[in-house]
Amino acid sequence: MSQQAPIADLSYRNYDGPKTLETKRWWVIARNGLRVSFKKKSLWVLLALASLPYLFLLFFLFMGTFGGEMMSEQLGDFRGLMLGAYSSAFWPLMIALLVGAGSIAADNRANALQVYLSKPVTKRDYLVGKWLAIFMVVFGAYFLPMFIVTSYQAFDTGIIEFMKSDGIIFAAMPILAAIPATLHASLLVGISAWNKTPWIVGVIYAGLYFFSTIFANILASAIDTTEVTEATLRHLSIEGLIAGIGQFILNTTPRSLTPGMTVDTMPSALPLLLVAASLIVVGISVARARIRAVEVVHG
Amino acid sequence: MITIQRASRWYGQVIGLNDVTCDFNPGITALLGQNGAGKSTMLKLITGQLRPTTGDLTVFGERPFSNPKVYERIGYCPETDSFYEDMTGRQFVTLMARMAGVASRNVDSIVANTLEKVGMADRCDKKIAGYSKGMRQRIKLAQALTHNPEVLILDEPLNGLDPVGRRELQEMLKGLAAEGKTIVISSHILHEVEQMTRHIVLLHKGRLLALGDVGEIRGLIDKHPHRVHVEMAGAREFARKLMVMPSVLSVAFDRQNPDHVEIETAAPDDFYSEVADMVLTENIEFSAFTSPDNNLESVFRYLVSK
Amino acid sequence: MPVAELNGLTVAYGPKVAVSNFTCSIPEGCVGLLGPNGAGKSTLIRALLGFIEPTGGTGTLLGRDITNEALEIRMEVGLMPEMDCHIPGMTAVEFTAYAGELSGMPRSQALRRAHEVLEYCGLGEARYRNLETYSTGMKQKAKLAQAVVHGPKLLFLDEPTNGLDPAGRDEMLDLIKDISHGKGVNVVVSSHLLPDIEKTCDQVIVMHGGTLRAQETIKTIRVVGPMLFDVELKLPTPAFGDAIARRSATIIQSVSTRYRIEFPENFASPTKAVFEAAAESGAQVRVFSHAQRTLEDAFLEAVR
Repeated sequence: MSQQAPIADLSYRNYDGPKTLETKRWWVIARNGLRVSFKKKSLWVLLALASLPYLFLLFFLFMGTFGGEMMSEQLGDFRGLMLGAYSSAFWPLMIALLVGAGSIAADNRANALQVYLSKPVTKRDYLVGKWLAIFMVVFGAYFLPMFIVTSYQAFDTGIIEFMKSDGIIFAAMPILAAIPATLHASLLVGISAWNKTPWIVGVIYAGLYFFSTIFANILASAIDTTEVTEATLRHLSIEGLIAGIGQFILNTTPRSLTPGMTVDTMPSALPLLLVAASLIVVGISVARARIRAVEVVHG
Repeated sequence: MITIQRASRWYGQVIGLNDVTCDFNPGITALLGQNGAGKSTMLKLITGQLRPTTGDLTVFGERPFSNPKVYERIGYCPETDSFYEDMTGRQFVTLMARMAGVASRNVDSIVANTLEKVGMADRCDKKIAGYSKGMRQRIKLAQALTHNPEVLILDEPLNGLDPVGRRELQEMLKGLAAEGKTIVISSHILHEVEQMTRHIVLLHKGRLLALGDVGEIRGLIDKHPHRVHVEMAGAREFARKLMVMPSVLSVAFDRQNPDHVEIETAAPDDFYSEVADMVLTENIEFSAFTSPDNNLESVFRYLVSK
Repeated sequence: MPVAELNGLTVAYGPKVAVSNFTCSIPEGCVGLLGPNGAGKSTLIRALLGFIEPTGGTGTLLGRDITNEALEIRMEVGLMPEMDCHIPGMTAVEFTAYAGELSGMPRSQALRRAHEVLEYCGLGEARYRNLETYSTGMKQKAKLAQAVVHGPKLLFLDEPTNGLDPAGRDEMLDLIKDISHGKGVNVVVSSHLLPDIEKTCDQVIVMHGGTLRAQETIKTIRVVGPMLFDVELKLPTPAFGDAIARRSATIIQSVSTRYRIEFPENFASPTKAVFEAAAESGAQVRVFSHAQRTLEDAFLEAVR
């Protein structure tokens, strides 16, 4: 390097720069996943749509402050209102589908696994990276609007007073955002690993999602039992798990801005947590079982 | 067998084939050209999947476009795979044979024969989904052969086969050609084409660039003088004598091998007979006296890279 | 120092043995790995990269143990898979840089190097385009670029010329020849197109049924016998056969204008004999040279 030759050889040369096994390859994979996701314009649209309930909430809170007393009754229960916005899960689901359906399926279709696995990337690096890429987007889609609305409310009510009554929300927000992010990421990674076509993954997961909601509702209505059990059964769907565990964390039931639409019975926490945990484990292990560098059948 | 008269074909604004006139006769003809040269368009016109936009094209004297009478006498092996993956090779070929009009009482024995011919007899009862590229290729070929067609149109038929398979199927195709079938093979693998035939049709950017025997075509390329490569002890001494010959254009030596010399000549016939005279009168011992560009690959390169 | 040393390597998928008791030393330079379908080539490459654990035997690649040091090996090795393998939604630069990052390069270096190797592979301005828009030839080049971005010491190329048209094939072969000679990169090429191997490789390894059948340099493969000659005439001239036979040559084979003939040992002047025979029969000699065996012939012999 010290002595420069008069004519440089511009054809192929070896790479002699830094290269190490110590890099966090899962982070490289996750970061690349994010980069590809945020290149999609549709993601930005969905993110905007997903924050609509929070925007409404923000608007009414604003109106409540300046617009007189008529809303104050509903607006009194801030945690309940937050939970109401949090429970509207449709657009976040769409976000999860957009970034997650193709996660591994597109790699399968394009045969990209051979690229990953011919590099010093382990199965765990790959899986963690793919999982994290979905997790982070969904997490952000929940966390950011929640944080903005809560911050507004905190400043509006006065920080000290807010911390006394609803301070728990600040601590709860990351957990609240992590629940749907973890569920979506784990299940999507699991389904995606077994497929070659992103849209089929999307259809399967959306089907599973809505079918579980319908099934849980039918189950809850069919079985004649206590109110708590019925509420628990009603929450045994992907959507329900998110809403149910959210209630448990904020220790309240969701409140809608429209009066009279409120359910007051909370489901019991343990079964919901158990079901959610097992779904996560199943999703990840199913994906783990599938990711292989070699298709053994080819021999 | 196949006559193409000033045929052109457009796809909207894109031109696939531009004013091509040529015939295909019994024996093997290689259809050559780069990607996008119009080979696939020509094959689709011959097999009646497309109709020429202008001009005329006949097979057995009839227009092939949606003409079942022609279809029954053509066998077609497409480049892309389109199988029913859940079928076995035998089921697939049987289905295709029935569709090509093979009578049901003969179909089993004909299919078995054909599968034997393409070397799939032992493996044809497994599902296609598990087939390797080479096996798929053999099945595609089998399905083109069941109805004993007079004309065979093969698009990259040997792609993905291993060298053993290539050799086997080449021999089989040569055998069919010897029986008097008209075989058109589109291929990128020029050395493989050369092992089967000297007769080529070369398309370039939709137009017909060359047609006929490779050797003859080579002789007509004036732009690139013939190269002759000589290896012998005392190559420079030999070269010194060549310098005075009017047929010699240039003499070049090799940096690494002092025994190698490369001669360019614009009049090969004169050059070769002058060298022959020299060998007869003087004491010359070649270890190699060859013509490195007298092959299909060079002809192709010279013609296409204009 | 050999690139790889394999000692009794055995790989089985359940009861099916794909590579059995394989002992071989892969030398530096450009080596062709040949064999019919199902010979175990892919399995061997997979085992060398640590994708599959061998059921028996040992092996080292670049001085590292293939079972215990797979990650270290993969950092120094590049693989160009047979099938298309781009990552959807990425440009060639992004894809190649990503491959570099996965190999452990810092992002800034990976990007710089991605531009460099894509330029080398002849993708020029096309490197800013999405890989989905690429033609077969360009995809093949992008595959090569992602395999060399991290500066591997050993490169595995699986059917690198498959599906390319003659121009694309020439470009790819030139790249392989260039990178494997004098650039500090060793290359193992697996291909069914034997003339491509002949053009690029110094040595070949032939596998069949999971075992080693032959390992030879291309040079030694070509040699058949000192008194065997190939002759090609301008036009078919049957009289040439008789004329050359009268000059004590044996005709081994003749196909239209091509003859393979053998002279007795210590025959003084084969050149003169052939040209005399041609003059006598009114033929013109276009080719006269020591007979050479093609790789194809050698291969077919080895696997039969």
